[in-house]
Amino acid sequence: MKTTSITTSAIKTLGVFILFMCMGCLTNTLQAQTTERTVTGKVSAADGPLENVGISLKGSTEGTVTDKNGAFTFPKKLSTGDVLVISYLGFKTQEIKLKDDTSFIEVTLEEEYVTFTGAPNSEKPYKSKRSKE
Amino acid sequence: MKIFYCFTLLFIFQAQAQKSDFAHIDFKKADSLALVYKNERLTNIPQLTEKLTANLDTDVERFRALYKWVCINIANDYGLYARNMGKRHQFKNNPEKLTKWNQKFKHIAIQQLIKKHRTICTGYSYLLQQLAQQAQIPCEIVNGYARTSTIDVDKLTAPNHSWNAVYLNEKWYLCDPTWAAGIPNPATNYFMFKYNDGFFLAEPELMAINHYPEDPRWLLLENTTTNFNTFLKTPQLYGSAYSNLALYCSPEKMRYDIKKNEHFSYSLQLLDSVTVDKVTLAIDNGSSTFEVAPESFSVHRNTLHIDYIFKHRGFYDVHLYINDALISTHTVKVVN
Repeated sequence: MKTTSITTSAIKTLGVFILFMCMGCLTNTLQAQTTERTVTGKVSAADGPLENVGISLKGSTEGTVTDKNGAFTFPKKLSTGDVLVISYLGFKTQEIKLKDDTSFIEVTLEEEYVTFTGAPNSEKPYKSKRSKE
Repeated sequence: MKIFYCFTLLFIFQAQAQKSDFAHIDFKKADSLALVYKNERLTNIPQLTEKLTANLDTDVERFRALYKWVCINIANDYGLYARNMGKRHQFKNNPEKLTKWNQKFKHIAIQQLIKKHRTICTGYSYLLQQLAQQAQIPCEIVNGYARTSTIDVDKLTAPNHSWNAVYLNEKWYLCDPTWAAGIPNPATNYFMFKYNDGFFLAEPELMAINHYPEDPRWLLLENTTTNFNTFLKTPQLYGSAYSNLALYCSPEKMRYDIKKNEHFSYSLQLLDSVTVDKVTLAIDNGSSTFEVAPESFSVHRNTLHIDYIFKHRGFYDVHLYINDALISTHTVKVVN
């Protein structure tokens, strides 16, 4: 009788322990999805790292720029689902949506083809070319 | 969004689009925001866009803040312009070298824009497009031909200017941030910031006088007879035409041959009425320039009519001034 009672008690204790373990795991998973974390990353172009690339949180004025190695650490902790906008003039802007496990992002920006021309306007009165007679 | 955008590109012919469509909107708040964020760096376009537009209610105000920021912060770099034109001319018959140069120059121009806030026309248009796109406002770079008083139009064989088209309230509008930003200082020839509001959502018929797009759809003129050849014959118009006129009706050509004592007549639609003492002609006969008042003058519902009669033979550059601002030039050959 006593043995049975001990066994039942042990099973109950173990059950409670397993239940807590499961709850713990579940909570951890939930935390992983919602916990804010520091996001770092690196931005390059075809010929190497890009300095001064703008990294901003979509829909906010939070942002930073990359250093000379193309690296950045976003100044605000970010959550899953946040969108980072990576932009640099002369290159196509990219948007990265943070996934559950994103804490480091690596981006290669694609160049945009633009041909530069320009005619400055003038307020100098037009002067006809006249042949000297 | 993209499908909708392509759809709108196919149907750009529309009722006349100009700034007066937004007469009910006060741009003071947008202009103040452009001033508040003056001197912001260009390293983070989404961040700058957000700062400039987050507190504005309509797309036209948001676009205005971005446009004004570009116009009051970015200087026109004439040295950069001269360097580019020189190389483009040098490589004009060598497509391979020209492509390489264009690619190299793009890097130089982008770095100059980011680090020194200096650029040439395409840099203004490209930056404005990037800012507008970030604010979800469809905006296009329009490449084409521009005529200014210092350009020899007979040698105009390749596009020399860029401006923008923007889609607001289901209509396309034109603007020219480069020419709105300023002009060369007449004394030093260095760039001088001098904002001209006339180039914001400018009247397409005025634009067509000194802007001819590579793709004529961007004239935004329905049933127009304007083509590249007619464009080369239009009168010389100046920045002040955009700030003083609603329309430039006639004389519609640059060069005229007339007879002595024949009337040379102007018809212009003004933005604000003027008095006779505010309208003068400066006539250059090649050796000297003399200022004259028109022979006849009338203003009816903001439409100005003036006449001048040439009494002597000769070849003249005829400059029209309204409120002391240079509006247009024509050349007139007077024969017996």
